[in-house]
Amino acid sequence: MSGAQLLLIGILLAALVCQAALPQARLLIITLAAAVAGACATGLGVTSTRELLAEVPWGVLVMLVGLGLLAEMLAASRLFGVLAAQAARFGEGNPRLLLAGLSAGMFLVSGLVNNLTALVLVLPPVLVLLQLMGADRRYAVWLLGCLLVACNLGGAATPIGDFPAILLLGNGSLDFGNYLVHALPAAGLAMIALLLVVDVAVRPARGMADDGLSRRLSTAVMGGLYRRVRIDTRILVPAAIMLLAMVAAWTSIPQSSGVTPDLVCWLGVIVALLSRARLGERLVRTRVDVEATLFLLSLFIMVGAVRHTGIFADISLWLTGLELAGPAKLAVFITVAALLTGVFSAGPSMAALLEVAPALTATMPRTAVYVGLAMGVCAGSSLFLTAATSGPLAQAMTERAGIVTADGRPLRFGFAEFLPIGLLAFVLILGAGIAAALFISSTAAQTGVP
Amino acid sequence: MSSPTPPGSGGPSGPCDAAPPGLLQAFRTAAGELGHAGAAEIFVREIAEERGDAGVTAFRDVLGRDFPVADALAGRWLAGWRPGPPALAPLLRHLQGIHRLAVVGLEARHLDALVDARPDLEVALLAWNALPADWERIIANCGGRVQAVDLDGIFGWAGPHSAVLCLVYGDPAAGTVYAPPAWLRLNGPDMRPQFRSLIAWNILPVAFTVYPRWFHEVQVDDFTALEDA
Repeated sequence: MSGAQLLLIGILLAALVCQAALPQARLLIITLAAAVAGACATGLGVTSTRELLAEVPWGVLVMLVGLGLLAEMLAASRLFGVLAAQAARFGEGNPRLLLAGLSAGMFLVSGLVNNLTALVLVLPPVLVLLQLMGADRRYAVWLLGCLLVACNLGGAATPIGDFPAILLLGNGSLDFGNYLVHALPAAGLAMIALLLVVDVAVRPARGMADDGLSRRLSTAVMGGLYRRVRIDTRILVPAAIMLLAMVAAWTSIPQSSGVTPDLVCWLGVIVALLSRARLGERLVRTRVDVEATLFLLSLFIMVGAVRHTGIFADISLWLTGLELAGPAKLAVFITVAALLTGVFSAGPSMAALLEVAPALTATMPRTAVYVGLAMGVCAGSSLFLTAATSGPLAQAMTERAGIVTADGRPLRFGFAEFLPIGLLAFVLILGAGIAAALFISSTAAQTGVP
Repeated sequence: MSSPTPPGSGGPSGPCDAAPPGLLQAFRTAAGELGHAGAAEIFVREIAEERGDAGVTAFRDVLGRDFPVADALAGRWLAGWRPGPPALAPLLRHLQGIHRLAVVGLEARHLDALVDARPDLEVALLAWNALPADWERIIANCGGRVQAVDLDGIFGWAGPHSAVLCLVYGDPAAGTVYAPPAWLRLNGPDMRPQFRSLIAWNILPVAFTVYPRWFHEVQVDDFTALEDA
């Protein structure tokens, strides 16, 4: 490995470790490291900063910002709060029904909006419900853990659900319909498998007293808290129409026409925001996810600098040179993606692995490789509480809610509490991802999947 | 030394046997957004239907000291009283000619009834509560009719056609009632001239057996009118 390779990889790894260790200075660390990586790459003659900036996949960032704004618009319509409250009422305080219903709801919501927004929308009524129903510690932890995993799985199920899938759509790796048709069943099966294992084998509700009064009270109070909250159709209808129009455009307009998914997103979101101009202007001015955008921009620059050293080409060569059958190579690739994501989180893993994936697509169907990659990243995101940004957010929201469990102690939802759920989800999602990729690969000749 | 078991958390014996786990926390959550009396009405009604008067008595034992409004309301329930629709007519008489109303204190059921009864009235709700509350959800329940204001913002609602409505509790016979702490911060010599009237709406006009923490004793004379809800 050359000195330039070592230095630039060192900067990337040091930035990732430091931002994890000092989350209060996360953005400063990452943007500084990107600047240093640009300076070093320029100074060592690896590439120029101008070239690094030109190579940033701006379309992905446009989609990230655009879909985030559309999610804010949907949130302003109060759609998800009302749905979560309805789910809670439908569950009538039955812990098993609630766990399954809320997880399924979270899966659906995070398929439409990014994971952080989905959590911010769905978690508050769930936390209120936990306070009302007098849940025990074990049940509360498993419920929150399953919701977090459902959030990751929903994000992987659709091309607009979360960053890794948006990246695949935005950089043209896969088209909208192709991703949706293959990733949705895989993610859905993993979700069903998780709920079945949790319900049959783990049985988190088994220690809870089946108290009819608790059920009555939680249902009655939830009814009171949401007694007159109505969905604002003046906001929801234009946002939903534009989302459907964007989906139609993504599935019907070929990328070869030059009308790329990011352009469709840009136009669609602005038209949706214009339909409620005052709200739209406020959202654009105040609710753009600057943190995620700057974080990813910096990562793209650092990974771009590393790419220019040729290290990804070397890894691709190693991967293609492995003396394994094609399916085994694919399984190794997906497993590596999952483990890397577990340690470094989805952004850096996806940015790096997308440089390696084309080596596999030369001999295997693109759809199998990229759907497998997305599922692998989803498995890794679910492994540790710290592997995805939604984990620490769920932890912070839970701690802020100050929930006291049935034993009278404050509920803690941290790394150790999530670990059993994370390990179970990791195994199930990784298994589903590998199985889906191998199935797509083995049937590609008959189905004509690219 | 073991830590004491919190009320309502399901201890080994005593009144907690009749109370579900987490009752105290559940009540805090409900009272933060529905009001102390509104939350108590729901809890007492559901407990009475599920466990009868014995359950309501246990509810008083577990929560009474921490939530005296709930204690007083449960006591009334045991004496045969049942909550009905808020008495709006006397209040509405005081609101004749009033276009803008600033409300201090939160009782969701009463606020809903008032907003429905005067569709032309602009209403501001002082977003201040000693208990945790999701103010976005509280306001969303008002169908766009109520906006949240802070202590400074409330004076933007002053004017000759404006009034302040303060939700109070307790028997006024001795010349005092119990008002939310925010009232103490708001009420001063500069307040009365800025609003046409300062109305107290008494949500629970009964004597309390324990001092109602979460509220403060204020003079009935602080208000230009006092009406029972």
